[in-house]
Amino acid sequence: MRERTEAQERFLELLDAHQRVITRVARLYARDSAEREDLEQEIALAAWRSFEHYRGAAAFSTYLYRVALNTALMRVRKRYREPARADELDVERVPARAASHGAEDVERLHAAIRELSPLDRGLVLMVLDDRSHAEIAAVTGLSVGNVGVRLVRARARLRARLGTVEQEDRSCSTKN
Amino acid sequence: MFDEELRATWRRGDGAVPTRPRPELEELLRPAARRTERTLGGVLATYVALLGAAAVLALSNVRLYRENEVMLAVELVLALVASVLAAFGVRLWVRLWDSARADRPLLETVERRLAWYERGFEPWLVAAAFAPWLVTLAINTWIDEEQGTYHVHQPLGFAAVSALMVGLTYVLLRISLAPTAKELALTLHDLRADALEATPSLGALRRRTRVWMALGVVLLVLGVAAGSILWWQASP
Repeated sequence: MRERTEAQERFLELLDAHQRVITRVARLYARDSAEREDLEQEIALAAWRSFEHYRGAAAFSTYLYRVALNTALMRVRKRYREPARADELDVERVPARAASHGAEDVERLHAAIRELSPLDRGLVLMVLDDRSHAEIAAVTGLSVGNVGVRLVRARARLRARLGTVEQEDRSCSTKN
Repeated sequence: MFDEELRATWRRGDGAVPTRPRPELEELLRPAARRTERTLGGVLATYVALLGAAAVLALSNVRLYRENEVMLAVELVLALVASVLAAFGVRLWVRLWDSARADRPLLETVERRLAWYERGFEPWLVAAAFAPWLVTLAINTWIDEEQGTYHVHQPLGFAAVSALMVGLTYVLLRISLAPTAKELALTLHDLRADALEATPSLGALRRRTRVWMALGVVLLVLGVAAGSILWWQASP
């Protein structure tokens, strides 16, 4: 086995500290656990291959978000042009529950985010991860203003989607 | 649900996902499955190797035909054309490799990849179509060399077979590679359109590609046929 280089060691340290970026992106762009595993590996590999170009000017998380979103968007390119698969998680199929049922709330949020366009999914993901608009602009290449406008629209869509499902669930509970 | 509520839900989900231990992270860095760019890169590299071989063979033939002015010119032109096409292939391969870098901003990556598929792919198909013909010709003129002479016994047949070979290679390459490349290009257009909030003009793109493709094939066949006839007329 080849001896690990200094760069590899540094990369692994940084990856260890920011690995959640990869899991977050994979979770929102992959359809099932097998695809998620594949995507996570592909992102990690792409990040390692491009690591020689990382000069530390931006935060490593920004660099990793760039690589992760680029890889995820290219990876899902085929189904981006296809209609959604029947077994893909749909926000309508996840029942709303009281806040104590946290896992279902989380699933509903993920499902609602997955219904956004691939690019908007990335923007929402980063804003939920407390990234600034400037950082999101640096990752996507969009202007800061455009990021803001898109996020306002994406938030409105999310609220509408989640609100509708909650209302439907409430009316179902009342009938029962 | 409003922003803070969304964030709280998000964090709850985030916290529920276990992090990978270090050995698992190292495992992630083992090579993954092949991807389109790598497949195209492999095809590109193969044809560059063929063109390189044709150039080397033609250059070695220059010595064999040094006393025969016509064949000397033919071999020099052959070596030059093969070298130029091989260099073009290397340049495209480097650009393809560079466009696959994932550390650039998303829009920049999309633009670079689109530029490759829009400006590099079609010319490359035409260039690659010549590769088997150039190699075959270089091998033939090397094998059939008789004390510095080479004779085409059936010039029209030679011209027809050459044109057919180039045309067929082009068609085969197009059939095998174009659907994947086109799909990727259209998806990149969609991504760019989504980012710029513009409507993609895919119809116009398809029409333009078809016109260039037809023009390329016609020019290719005419060029090969004219070159072969000129060569036949100039042969002693």
